[in-house]
Amino acid sequence: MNGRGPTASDRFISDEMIDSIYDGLVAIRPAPGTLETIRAALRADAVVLHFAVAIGATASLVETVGQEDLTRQGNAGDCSQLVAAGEGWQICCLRAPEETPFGEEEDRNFRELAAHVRRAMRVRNGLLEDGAAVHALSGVIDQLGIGAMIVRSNGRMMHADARAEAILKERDGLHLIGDRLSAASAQEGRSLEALLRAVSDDERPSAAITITRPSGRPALGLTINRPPMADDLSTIGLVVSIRDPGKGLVQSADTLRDLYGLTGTEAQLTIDLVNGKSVQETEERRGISHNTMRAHLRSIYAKLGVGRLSELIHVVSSGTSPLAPGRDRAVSPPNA
Amino acid sequence: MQLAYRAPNGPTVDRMIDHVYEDLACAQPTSVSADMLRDSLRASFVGVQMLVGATRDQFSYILNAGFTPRPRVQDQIVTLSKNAARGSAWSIELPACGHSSQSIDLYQLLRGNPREANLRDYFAELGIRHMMLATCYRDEDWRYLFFATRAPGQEPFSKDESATLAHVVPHFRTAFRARTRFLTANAMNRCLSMGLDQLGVGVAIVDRDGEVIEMSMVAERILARKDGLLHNRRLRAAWAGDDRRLQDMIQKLGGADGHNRPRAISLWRPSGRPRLEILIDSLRAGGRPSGAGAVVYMRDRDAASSLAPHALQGLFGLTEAEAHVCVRLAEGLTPHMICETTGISYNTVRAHLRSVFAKCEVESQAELMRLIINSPACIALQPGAVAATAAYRKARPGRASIHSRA
Repeated sequence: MNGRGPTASDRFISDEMIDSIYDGLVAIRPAPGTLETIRAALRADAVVLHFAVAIGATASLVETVGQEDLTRQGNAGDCSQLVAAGEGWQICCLRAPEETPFGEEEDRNFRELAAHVRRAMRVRNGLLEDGAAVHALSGVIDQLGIGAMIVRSNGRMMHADARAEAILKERDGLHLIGDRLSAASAQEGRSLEALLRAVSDDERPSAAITITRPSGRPALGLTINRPPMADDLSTIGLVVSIRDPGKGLVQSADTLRDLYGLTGTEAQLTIDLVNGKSVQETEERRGISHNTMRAHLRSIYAKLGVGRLSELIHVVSSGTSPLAPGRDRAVSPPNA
Repeated sequence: MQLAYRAPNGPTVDRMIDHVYEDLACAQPTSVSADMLRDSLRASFVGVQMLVGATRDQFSYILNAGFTPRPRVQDQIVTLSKNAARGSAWSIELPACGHSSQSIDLYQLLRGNPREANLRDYFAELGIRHMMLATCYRDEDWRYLFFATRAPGQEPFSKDESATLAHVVPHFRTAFRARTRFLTANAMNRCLSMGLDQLGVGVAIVDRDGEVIEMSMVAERILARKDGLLHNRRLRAAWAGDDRRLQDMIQKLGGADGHNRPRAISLWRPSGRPRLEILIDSLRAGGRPSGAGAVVYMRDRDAASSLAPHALQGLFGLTEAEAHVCVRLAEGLTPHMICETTGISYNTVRAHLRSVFAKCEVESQAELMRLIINSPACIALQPGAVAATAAYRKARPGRASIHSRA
């Protein structure tokens, strides 16, 4: 047993860097911040990480930091490179042709770093093994205006996705005090606490609560579920799904045209109606007469095979059109 | 191309560190690595105590190598270290962060203590005489205190052994952190895929050649019906005209020039049921199309509704009967159809609806529909859903430890 424990000073990799590797790479979409750390540490001009979409998949996604032009086909050949790869991943550090090529010391440091990357990516494989197509899910869930948080039974927030974080940041009805989830209204806050405890103690399978917003916007809806966990993992907390009724609307006129053969105007009118405008409001907004509106409605109803407005809303919102982002793609990146 | 990892520290320590990380997703993440640590230190047991904040919120976590968890030992050791802070007579000086202490002789430490004989017997019975401590911080107020002990008959720990402990300890800390992250992400992913299952949205990922890589549970269910959309390595539409458009879209959005907008198509179904709606988007990395394939979302309207009535009750303060009427309404039934299917009278349905309108502050069925559809009720678990997930779990075994696959 050799016990030469190196001290912190003679190690190239600091504790912070190790933390960054495991924090950043053990995610469905590895964090660019970690690659940036690696790039800075090795004084590379670009770092490219290829990572598999799923276990055993041939398709991989790429995350690049630094000078992207170096990574284009044809350019990389002239660069000085450090490469490491494993099951479902490859990391490559590049230095531009005009710079000093990587030396032996950098190679050694890179190998040491790569050992941690390898371990982190293996842990990531464990993550991927679970969910089918998980990283594609988060974007769609976000599109529907649904955010998710992991909360302990005492209200302590463990994790929030991008949408939930955005809702909390608005501090309109629901916010964080320290790391505790709390409601603007004291009474609702108490009910929320009680429900978290009730679900956690297995008194009920799930619970739902409405949180009113001081600004007067439509209230937030919350549901609390105990996540079904794999048998061999302990439960980390409760899943609190949150939905902002103002978001998650049907946005894409293109999709409606594709799906139902609507004209551009019909698609616009359908979006207004499904998203909460009354027939009269829609007429005013689009500046069309009542008779024109009736003609459009007849045509829309016929194309969708429905007879009433509530049926129209049901058909459109239970289809795939709410999943499509609008033209402007005002979507936060999934799993940020 | 498998990476050859050069050990900076000898193969034993290195394998131990491998285990520290690779087992972190297991139920007992430290069972192998702690055993290895104990063996390499020739200790009677090793353990760790996590101290949160000003030690008020503390809880312990026993690495449990060759030792049945005995909370009292933990308590004793923490008492010792707490006394260090207070400068009490029998205190242990805690090592600086990231370092480990030299071997401490408990018997020596107890000398002069009024209860010396009792405490000596107590520790002797537990097989503890020599002790080594190592500390590290996770965040500002999270501290890990690692310890290794040896029985009275054994040698004190050597300097080398102390250095080994100091070298390994930060890795345990990082692994604990990663484990928390892993469990969180795991719960999050389950919750997201559960959410989409609940919403009846199926997801299939195809590579740039159109071959299916992954499918969600709902997608499998939709494809199993072989009604409109078929699957043999590639996704195919039942009707040739639909199929040409489908293949064209997949090719355009999955390929390298995937800068097209998402495309939608509704597929004709031989059974005559409403068309199956499909949405296709490029597989994205960091918000940009990656050119590595496409995502195909599908939604079967008949399977889409899984509103939980009890969630509607909680959200809007409805009675059970009112909630059930709402669920039917959201499934697309008219009040007349609700009477027919449930056997309650039309007047009762109308009375329920009036009351629902008042409680939800809406004035029309259309408004009510929007409210329900945009509420989180559709992602609340049905009481039966947990059982369904359990079955799903059984159908896909192999979520064992990570290293077993390596």
